[in-house]
Amino acid sequence: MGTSPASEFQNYLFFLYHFRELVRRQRGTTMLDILKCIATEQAPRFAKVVPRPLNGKDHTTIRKYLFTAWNAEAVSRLPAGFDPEVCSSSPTSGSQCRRTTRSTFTW
Amino acid sequence: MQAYYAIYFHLVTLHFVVNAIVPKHHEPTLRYATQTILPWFPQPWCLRFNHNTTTLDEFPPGTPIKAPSGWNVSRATESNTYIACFFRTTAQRDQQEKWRQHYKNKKKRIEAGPRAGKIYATADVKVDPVSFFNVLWRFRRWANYLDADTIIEGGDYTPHAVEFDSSFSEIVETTALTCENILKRCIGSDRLRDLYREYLALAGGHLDCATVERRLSTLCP
Repeated sequence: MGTSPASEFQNYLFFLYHFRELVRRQRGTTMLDILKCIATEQAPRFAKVVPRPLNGKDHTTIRKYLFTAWNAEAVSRLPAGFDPEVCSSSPTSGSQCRRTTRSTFTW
Repeated sequence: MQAYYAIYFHLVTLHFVVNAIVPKHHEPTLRYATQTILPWFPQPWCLRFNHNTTTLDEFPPGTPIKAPSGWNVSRATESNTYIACFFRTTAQRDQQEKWRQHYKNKKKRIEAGPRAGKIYATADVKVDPVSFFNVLWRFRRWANYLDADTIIEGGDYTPHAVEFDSSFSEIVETTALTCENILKRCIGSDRLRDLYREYLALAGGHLDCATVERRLSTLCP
């Protein structure tokens, strides 16, 4: 596998493309359909898991980490709401940031 | 980076719910997902490659782990084949890194087996099985500050950058669903519903919570 920035980016891009293909495969056309299908398919896989008893402190800890996960997810989705030209200036996804910062600042 | 953390903290939550311990380090948490709870996940999260034995778990029978040159930048490669090949190269990278870190220029010798007494070559180094969650760790290390150039320069072509974000978002959403489905089993549907509703009440006006709302309606209707 290549190690240049461009080829490394492409490796990950294509991994995501193919993984998403498998996530969607034969599971419907809308996201809700896909989610429902995944949930139904998954249920037998953990049916034998025996939950441990949880106390109030445990529930507080679960809430803390789950909310942290949801916050991270919400933040990760921010670029999706932008115009692609703005989106491509985010540090995770494009060249405009590099050009802008280089033209604005001297590092 | 935040997409990675979204999945990572789901795994932290699951580890705590099952084991009553909050894991403190990333690599062991992702290893826990690959080696312990992976069978609880559906396709394609349950796919796994064991480099030490060259075996694939849960892939369709006959899936190759090698493909013609160019497979890694092709949409035409069959997706299971692509994932198997990607897992293989991830394991090879792990093996190379482990060899450099623990065996290169050192006089450790193999203790048993047909190569007993020989100096360790890369191929002698054993590595952990690889799943989607290990690839996340590879992502995480790639996306750190040392490799920032990779992301900035690699995403020069805007449609690819947009596709990258969109694919990763969808994968995060569906991965979160699989984790929360297990969580529902462990804490109960009512408790999970309460958490969804509390979060939506707190964050709904400030953040885009469409994905959390979809999971609420899917898992706790």
